[in-house]
Order: sequence, then C-alpha cells, then structure tokens
Amino acid sequence: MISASTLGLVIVGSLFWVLAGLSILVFLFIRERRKKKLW
Amino acid sequence: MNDSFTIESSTGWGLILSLGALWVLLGWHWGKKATSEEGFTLAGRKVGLALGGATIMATWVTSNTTMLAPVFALKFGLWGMLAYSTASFGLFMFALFMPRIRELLPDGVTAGDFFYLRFGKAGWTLFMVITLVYSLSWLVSMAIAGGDLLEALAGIPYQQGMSLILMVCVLYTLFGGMYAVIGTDFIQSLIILLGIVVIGFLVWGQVPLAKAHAHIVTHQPSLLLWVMPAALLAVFNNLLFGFGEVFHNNVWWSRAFAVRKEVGSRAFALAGFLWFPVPIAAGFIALAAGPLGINIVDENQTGPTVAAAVLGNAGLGVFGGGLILVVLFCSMASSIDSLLAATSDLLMKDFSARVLKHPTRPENFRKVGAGVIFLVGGVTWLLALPHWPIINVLFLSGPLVGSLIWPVIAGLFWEEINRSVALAGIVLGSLAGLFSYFWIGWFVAALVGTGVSMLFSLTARYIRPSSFPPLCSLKT
Amino acid sequence: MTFVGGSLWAVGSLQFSNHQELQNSVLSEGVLTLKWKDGGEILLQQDRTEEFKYPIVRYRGKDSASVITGLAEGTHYFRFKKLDQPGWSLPLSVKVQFVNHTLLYSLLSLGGAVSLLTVGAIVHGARKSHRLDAVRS
Repeated sequence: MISASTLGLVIVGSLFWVLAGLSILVFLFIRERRKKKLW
Repeated sequence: MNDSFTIESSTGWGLILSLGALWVLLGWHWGKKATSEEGFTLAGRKVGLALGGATIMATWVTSNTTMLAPVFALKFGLWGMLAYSTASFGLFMFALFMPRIRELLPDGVTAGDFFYLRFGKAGWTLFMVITLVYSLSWLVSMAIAGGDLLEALAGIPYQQGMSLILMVCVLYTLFGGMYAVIGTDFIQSLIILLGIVVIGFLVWGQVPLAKAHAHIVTHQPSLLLWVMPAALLAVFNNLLFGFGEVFHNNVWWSRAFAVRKEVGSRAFALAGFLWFPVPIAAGFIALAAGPLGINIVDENQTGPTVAAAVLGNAGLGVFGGGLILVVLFCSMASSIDSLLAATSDLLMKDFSARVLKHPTRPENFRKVGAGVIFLVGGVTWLLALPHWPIINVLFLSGPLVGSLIWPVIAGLFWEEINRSVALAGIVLGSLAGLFSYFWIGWFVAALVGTGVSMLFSLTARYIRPSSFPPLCSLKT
Repeated sequence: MTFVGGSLWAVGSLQFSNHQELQNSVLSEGVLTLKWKDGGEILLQQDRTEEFKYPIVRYRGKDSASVITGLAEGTHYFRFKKLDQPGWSLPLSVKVQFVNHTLLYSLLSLGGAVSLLTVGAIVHGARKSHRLDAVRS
C-alpha cells in the first residue's frame, strides 16, 4: 500500500514543480524581451 | 453538479466573449507581423525559448489533460496520474530530434514534408490519413468538451457554448496565424499553470493528508496499491501513445520549424519539464472527493466537480466557477488554435501541392490561410454539433499514431530502409493495435501498434534496404 | 416476499436503474457507476457481505448517481433506500477481478521492452547524428 508520506510527497512535489515552471517561464520571457529575442 | 458554484449564463457568455475579444484583438495585432507566408505559418522561424517552450507546453495541456487527469486519478489512483505524466516523455524525445530535423529539412514547413521526403507519396498518403483522423478527432473532442463545460458551469446550451468557443479560436487564428497562436499560447500557459497551482493548494489546504489517506485506504483501497494492474498497464501504453502523437503531428513539427534553431531542443525539453507535473497537480484533486464527501455523478466531470466544491468551501463560490471556466477555456483554446493552424497548414501546403497539384501562391497566403482555417473550423463544428462520442475515435487513434513512431525514427536517423516493408508495418501495426483495443483492452492498443510497426521497421532496415533520397530542397 | 437486510418489506420495485446491467458483473478496474431514479434524499450503502453486517455509507443526498472507484478485489454488495420511505432496494452484487498476474507481467515486460528499444533507438540516432555533425564541422 502506498503510504501517506509517499502520496503527500508526490502531490506537494508536483505543485511546487508547477510553480517552479511558471517562474522559469516568466524569467525567460523577461530575459528574452530585454535581448529582443522573443520572436 | 452542486449548484452553489455555478455561474449565471450571462457571466459565462461574458467571460468567454471578453477573453475571446482579447485573444482576437491580440491575434489581429500580432498577425500584422506576418508579412509573408512564412510569417503566417511559422512566425518567421525566429521564436525564442520562452514563447517556444510555452506554446509547446500549452498546446499539450489540452482540456483532456485538465479534465481526464482527475478521472485517471479517481479510477487508477497514484499510478494513474503518473501514467498520464509519461505523455511528457514524447516532448523530451522530440528535443533529441530537433538538430536532425533542421538538418534534413532546412526549409521545411510541415510534417508532410518529412514523410514525403523520406517515404515518398505512399508514405505521405498514409501519414495524411492517420494525421487527419487523429487531428480532427482531437479538435472535435475539445470543441465538445468546451460545450459540455459551458453547459455544466453556466447553463449555456451545449450547441451555443461549443459554437462560441470554436468561433473565438477560429477568429484569432485566421487573423494572426502562428504569431497569434504562439502569443496567445504564452498568456494561456501562465493562466493554466497559475490556476492549477491555486486550485491545487486550496484542495491541499482543505484535506489533512493522514485523514485523506485513511479514508482512501478504507473506501478506495485499490487506488493506493503499488501493483494496480490497470494503472500499471496504462504507464507504457500512455508513454507510447504520447510518443506517437508528438512524433508525427504537424502541431509539433510546425513548432520545430518555427523556433530559432539554437533554442529548438531546449524549447521542447523545457516544455516536457513544464508539462510533467501537470497531470499530477491537476489530477490529485480527485482523490479529495471521497475524504471531502463530494459525490461524483459523472466521472467525466470529476475535475470541475471537485474543484468547484473546494473553491465553494473556501468561500470563493461563484468566483470559483469563473476561475475553473477560465483555466479550462485556456487549456482548450491553446490546443484548438494550434490544431487549427497546423492542420490548415498541411492542407494549404501539402494537400494543395501534392494532390490538387495547385500550390498556393505566396502572395495569397492570408486569403488562402484564412479560408482553410475557416474550413477546418467549419468541419469541426459540424462534427461536434451532434455530440457524438468522438473522444472514442481519439482513443482508437492510439495504435495508428503508435505505428508511425518507428518510421519517424528510421526516417530521421537511418541511412537506408526497405520502404515498402516499413509502410506495411504502419498498416499492420494500426490494424493489430485496433484489434487488440477491442479484444484485450484499451491499455495495450498503442503498445501493440508500436510493437508491430517496430518489428517491420527493424526488418526493413536489414532486408533489401535502399538508401533514402539525397538531401535537397523539397520538390513536390 | 424477499427478506433483504432484515427488512420485511418487499422491495423488488426499488432497485438501481442499471441493476440488470451490473448484477453479478465482473469489473476489471474496480470502477462502477450506480444509478437510481431521481426523487428525494437517499442513503447508499456498501458491504462485503450480502447481509450488510458492517455497511459503509457511500453517499447520502439527493443526487441520482454515484461513481464508485478503487474497489478491492472480491465481491461487493450495494443497496440504497429513500430516506422518507421504509425498505431497502434490491441488493446489487458485483465482483472485482483484476487482470491476472501472468498476463499483467507479460504485458508489462512487453511494454518495457518496446519502450526501452524505442528510446534507445532515438538516443543512439541522436548521438550518432551529433558525432557526424562534429566531424563535418
């Protein structure tokens, strides 16, 4: 049986992972906009 | 569904129309950058890492992802969510294709160019049949999901809601082409990720882990098994289904040609990284249904039902319904626009040149492009109107797209192949996969399609292979 | 008359609306949707025994369906009653049986093999292509 801690780790881990991804996207956008390399 | 979070139809109309107006305005504004056919179809081939990564990720986060991930979690537990996440591996693998794609097809525009170059007209025809079945069923299933969503959340009659969502996407895509699609995808990707995080943390905050775990162990013990057969089988099937979808479809190939050469691989890898946790973060809320005493009446509405109840408990009520609508609309729009553009490009470039023998004149790109997008949108609308279960066609396309995996690998990396044997593998892989779907189960169809095609491709490498044609500019 | 769960009332008329379809069926995923006719608040119970000695309350409310998932292997019984009326419905029994382990591990091995070979072919091809590029430049 999957334990509560494993379940919790996977769920919370994924939420913070999404948050990290969001931050990376924003950071890259700002950086490329400054260098005029967006598109 | 619980009525306390449902929004007024006028609010539903208002949200879709105002967001839609924003996308159309932006689409029209960004579309002015497209001064040539290449600008319209490939955004000038200069898209950077941020917009490139975002559009790839957002296109792959479909309404199926946000709606189906909770269903997988509800039915198959933790392994169900992880199985869904394996669909991101296709993006990681496509990152490895990038340098070779740009080398093989420096002036390439569509996936059809690749199949025609490496497998000739017969291969291209097979590819077109499979990709059109797959792409249309994906498009239609999302239009249907949009109509269902607006009806469930805002009481807007299905046909009206579906038509509204589709019309908004068609409009901004035909005004702005790839620039509009990529630009709006970036904004939509931020909204999707933010929405998933907000809803996810709210659910997390409302359900103590130990209590939820204890409840599931008592009432839904199979969801927490380490060996849950249906879920485990879904892992490899989903992985290969994802490979097939990403490797063959023009949605991804057009992005491969649109991003700047030096960031191409990283854009796909970034998208894979961004996408991997989404099915888990969006799906786990279904596990809260039991502990929170939320009754699920229709498994396909699991996600919105639980999200709405949780947002209602948090005192967000109607605002919660609006947030769910916006997030789901963005996940649909970001995929519908990409599919409209990519499918229209295939018809505009490949079909007109290779079947009608009447290539589109470059100076007519806007008129023809808009016309084809409108046509594809129209066909989608007609197929979505009767509310047939088209999602089943999408699931059935698993073995079809799976059978294209190894021919794509062969076409990219091998020097020689027996084309007839490889193409026979596509046909037989598709048939074997379809047979296994009905005879064994959905959880093996893509695996069988891929496996059979793989055997034929490997045979084609060693039994009377002939060299691929030399690299040169594409001639139709 | 049928004695159901100790009740004397004949409840042949009260049953799940998909009773015929589900009765004694074998579920390979532990998932089913129970449906009943709309009208009033109901109480839905589940147990491992036909006598409902230690029932679990699955649902109490006014909806007319409930999706049940995560059932363990074995036989399960379901029944419901309208709260404003006496008497339980006809009990519904279903059996959950997962794919047998031989088939499971065969399919998993096949899946693992095909996936590994596919990833291997891609990685090998990409590396070879990268090496050739390096040589050319």
